[in-house]
Amino acid sequence: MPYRLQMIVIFCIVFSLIILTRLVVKKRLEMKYALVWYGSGFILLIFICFPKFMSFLTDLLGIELPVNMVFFMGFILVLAIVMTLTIAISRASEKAKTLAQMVALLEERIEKIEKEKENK
Amino acid sequence: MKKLVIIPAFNEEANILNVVKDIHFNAPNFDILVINDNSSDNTLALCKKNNIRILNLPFNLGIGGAVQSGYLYAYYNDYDIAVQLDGDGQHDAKFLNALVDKLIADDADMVIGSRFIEYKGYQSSVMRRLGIRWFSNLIMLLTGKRISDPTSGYRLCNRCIIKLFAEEYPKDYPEPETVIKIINNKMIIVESPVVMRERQSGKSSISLIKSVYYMSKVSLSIFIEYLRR
Repeated sequence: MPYRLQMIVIFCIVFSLIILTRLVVKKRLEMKYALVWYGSGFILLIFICFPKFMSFLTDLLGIELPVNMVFFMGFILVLAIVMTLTIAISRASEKAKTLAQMVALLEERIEKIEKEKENK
Repeated sequence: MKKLVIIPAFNEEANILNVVKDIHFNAPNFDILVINDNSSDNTLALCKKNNIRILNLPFNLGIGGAVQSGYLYAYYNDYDIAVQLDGDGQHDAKFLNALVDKLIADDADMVIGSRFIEYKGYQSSVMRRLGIRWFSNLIMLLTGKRISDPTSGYRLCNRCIIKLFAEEYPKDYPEPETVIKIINNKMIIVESPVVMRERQSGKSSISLIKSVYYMSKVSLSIFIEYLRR
């Protein structure tokens, strides 16, 4: 991989990791969901910093250009992130549903109690 | 024995009072609970004015979440029997006590009110009947049990199933996949003939565009539910 491209990619990744950290510090992003981003960033960083390791894997997988290997890795990691998000959404909507149901049940109970009070 | 009718209602101001009247008249031994699934019309105010017990969901949960709230209510308030009856007037309250009798006579856990035993009343469109037939066959294939009307929402169940539904209930189009869940749990489902009416007003929740989503979602859910056994 050309030296210049290597530098650009490293710069991009480090820059993204800094932004990511700032988001976590400002509590705009939960650590729980930031972890998968950190993980992907570090994995990509390792691959970029050690081109030998990357060319080894590239040969192993039968990919022609190391650059394509980077794109491939990035794609896989993005898919992993999207998957964790889908799981998080499922969980959140399940929780929201339960919450709504409990609110409705409580509201009904309160109204019943108030009515009984009035009738006394 | 405490019995509850659960009526999920989403923008049903035109039908809801008739439905409740129908139950008062035909099955006065049932308590009534309307679930207002965040209607934008007058459903809530109408029910409050007429002193109908109502659960008011703070945002729209869809049919599954709404009905499940009813089962939660039935579970917390120690009901022995709960039945779902749609708020759009399709289900006739005349059959409520027949369903109860069937449940007790057959010692079953759930009774489904089926259109396809006596083939009377509103039989739904050809396409929809084909779909229902497909689900029925799929369930037959996976469990060996023939349920003639697995999409029927007119279902009466005992305490065991109230508990099961209170714990877990699919969010949309819940009927066919809960049928297979119940069979997997070694509980007994029987069917009893009912006559359904065409919707009295308003639109059905299943439009033409949604039917593709509906067919694939339900087929897949039935299969996934089968894998959970």
